[in-house]
Amino acid sequence: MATFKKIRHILYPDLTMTLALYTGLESCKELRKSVMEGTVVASLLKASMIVDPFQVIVAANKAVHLHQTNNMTTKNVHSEILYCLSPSKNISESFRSFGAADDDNSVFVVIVDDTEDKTLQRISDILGHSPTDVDAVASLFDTELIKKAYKLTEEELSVYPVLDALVSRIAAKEIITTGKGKS
Amino acid sequence: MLALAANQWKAHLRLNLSFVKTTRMVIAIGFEGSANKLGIGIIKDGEVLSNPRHTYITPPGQGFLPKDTAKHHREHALSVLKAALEEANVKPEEIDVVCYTKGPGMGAPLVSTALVARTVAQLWKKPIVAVNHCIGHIEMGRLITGAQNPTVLYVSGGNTQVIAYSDRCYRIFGETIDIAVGNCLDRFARVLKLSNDPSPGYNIEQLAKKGKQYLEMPYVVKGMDVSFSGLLSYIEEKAPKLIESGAYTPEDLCFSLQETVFAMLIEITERAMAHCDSNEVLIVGGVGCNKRLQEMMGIMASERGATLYATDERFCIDNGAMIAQAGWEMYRTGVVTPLKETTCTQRFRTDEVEVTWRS
Amino acid sequence: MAVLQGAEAKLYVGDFYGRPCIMKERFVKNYRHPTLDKALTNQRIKSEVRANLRCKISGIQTPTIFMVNFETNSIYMEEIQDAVTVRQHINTVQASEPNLSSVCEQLKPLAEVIGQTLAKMHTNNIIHGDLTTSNMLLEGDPKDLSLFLIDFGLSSFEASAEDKGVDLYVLERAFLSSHPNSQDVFDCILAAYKNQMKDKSASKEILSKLDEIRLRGRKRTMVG
Repeated sequence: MATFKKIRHILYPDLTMTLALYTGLESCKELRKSVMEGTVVASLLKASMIVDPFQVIVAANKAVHLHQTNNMTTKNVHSEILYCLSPSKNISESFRSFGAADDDNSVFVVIVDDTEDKTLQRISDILGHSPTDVDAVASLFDTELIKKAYKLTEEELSVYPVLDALVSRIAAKEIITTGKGKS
Repeated sequence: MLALAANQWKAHLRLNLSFVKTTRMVIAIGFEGSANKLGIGIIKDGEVLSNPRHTYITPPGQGFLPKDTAKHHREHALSVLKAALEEANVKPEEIDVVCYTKGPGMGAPLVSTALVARTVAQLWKKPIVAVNHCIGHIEMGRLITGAQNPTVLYVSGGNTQVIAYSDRCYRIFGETIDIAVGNCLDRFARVLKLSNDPSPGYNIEQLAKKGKQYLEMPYVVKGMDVSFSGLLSYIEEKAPKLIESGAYTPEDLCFSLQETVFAMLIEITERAMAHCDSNEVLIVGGVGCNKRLQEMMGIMASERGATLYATDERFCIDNGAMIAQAGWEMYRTGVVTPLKETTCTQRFRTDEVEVTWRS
Repeated sequence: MAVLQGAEAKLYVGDFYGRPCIMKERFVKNYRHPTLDKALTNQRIKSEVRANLRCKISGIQTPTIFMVNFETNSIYMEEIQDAVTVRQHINTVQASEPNLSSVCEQLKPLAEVIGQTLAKMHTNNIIHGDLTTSNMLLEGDPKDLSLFLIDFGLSSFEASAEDKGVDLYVLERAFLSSHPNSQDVFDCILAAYKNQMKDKSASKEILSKLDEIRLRGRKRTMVG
């Protein structure tokens, strides 16, 4: 289990964020059910929408900060991570595009404040798998889907990597709506 | 052989000049009339001997027109001159140089004052020096406060400039891209029908002290430049309604206007100071005697470890001594204006003058 | 640790989950009314983030933003490592090259890139608001001309030729005051700007506005 990442929040060092990637799954159905029932408290992200663990870190970092300062848009910090990851201001659309689906074969998990990795262990038990290297997510993403969801332009991709395009949008979500819309 | 002789002669001349400088004090008289103040001042080697002034005050709600202002200056020229000489206890023959404001300013008042200066210069057979009004403010500010190399905020009815000295020139780092801050305040005073006595800006300042409620207004800073015209139209349009509805008092609006425009001025001054790595700031010009502006500038200066230099209404507001002081600086470096060139110009930028008296 | 204190923000260098990061923290200006101070700080953080991202979307290099903290008025962004400001670079070139015309010759490629970048920015209606040679960075070897724009706190989103003209005017003033004898280099920037603009009538209008704005300063009567 040395392949997951457990990092401290830069503003709240007492809080940790655990990042783990599971691949080669039959389905995510049971895990999703547990999360919806509240027996597992975690954020289940669609792996094909993630180009790099740093993208998730930026979203989780932001969600935890919004949670700590009572500025969340959604109900809890784990749903807030999903919402932060998405460029959309529509909550259900964000969950649909960026949350793991029942028939997904992989899932990117984030757990805030997982003492003694208990939640991570439960997830591994439910899935019947150990997490793989989080960096392996780089081989799973769907470029076209990501470009569409984040409305990336060819001009910007000519001057900097996709990851930076996503990260900027995640950090600036509440300040800017991309494209020609109002700001 | 010949070249050597010429060099020796030059050295001799320099020696003689420095001899003159150390043994005899130079007395300069300055004539200022570029706007609605007529001022005549006498300075003797940095000491202000006299500085009387007469201000043309118009009824509330009215600005001053060039023609009437020129008439005012003509009418009061002799009495102010007499007061200047008497107060200084100086006889015309003791005066070394006559200085006058060449510009910038209003045409007719400038010309009427220059005429007086030219007349006395010829009558007393004295050399004459044409002075840039803005440089007069800067040099007077430096003289009175002792500031060495300050970033200068020059704020008045017609000017809003952030100036710093570099390479024999007072360079304008920031300025208004439309109207001057004093003009903005004066025009708002007209909306409120405030008295022009002693000045509209002074009366806004007094009302502002009693203001409590802050109204947000357009705040426009572009680089080191500012713009007030949008803000003025905004407040001109809003003020009558806000006062009528009782939402804001005239005091609140004066307070809010001052807070907004002064914050803009401090911001660009601080930018220029950061740009030039400067640790002195000097405020000059009529708006410069506003205590709240000085207070705000003082806070900014102390927070960046700089020193604020400001003067009071005797020297901030247009006066004759400042023209004498700048003229004296020019004269002692050999500048004299031929009589034929003692004209006036409404447009005369601070950075057009070659600063011969500073290194 | 603060590495630099500007007029309105402190810059700290650090690390953001493994990436080199600058934290730009806007501090309270005690000289101004608290309501005004809060409004300006908030507005400038938003403007900065907004224009930074709009520039990126238009294909202009800007530091990637990692986080915005409205509690502390700070922005966490990518540190452009191994970079010099254009101001430093021009000074270096001017110091090493006594001949004025060869200085201009050496700086010409840079001036072209600056002009093209500003044209791209204005085509997308982004007004920087504080263009100076200190707000432009060259990453890596300055010869590579990898230009980044920074410091968008005074930026706005405007389509008018007047606003674009003022933007260029602000740069001209800052350029000529920071770099004496550099009018030729600045003219190069304007020429490249004009060339890059696809809409010729727009560039013509902006440049004639620039002339008009210059004259406004010169012509103002300045009474009092």
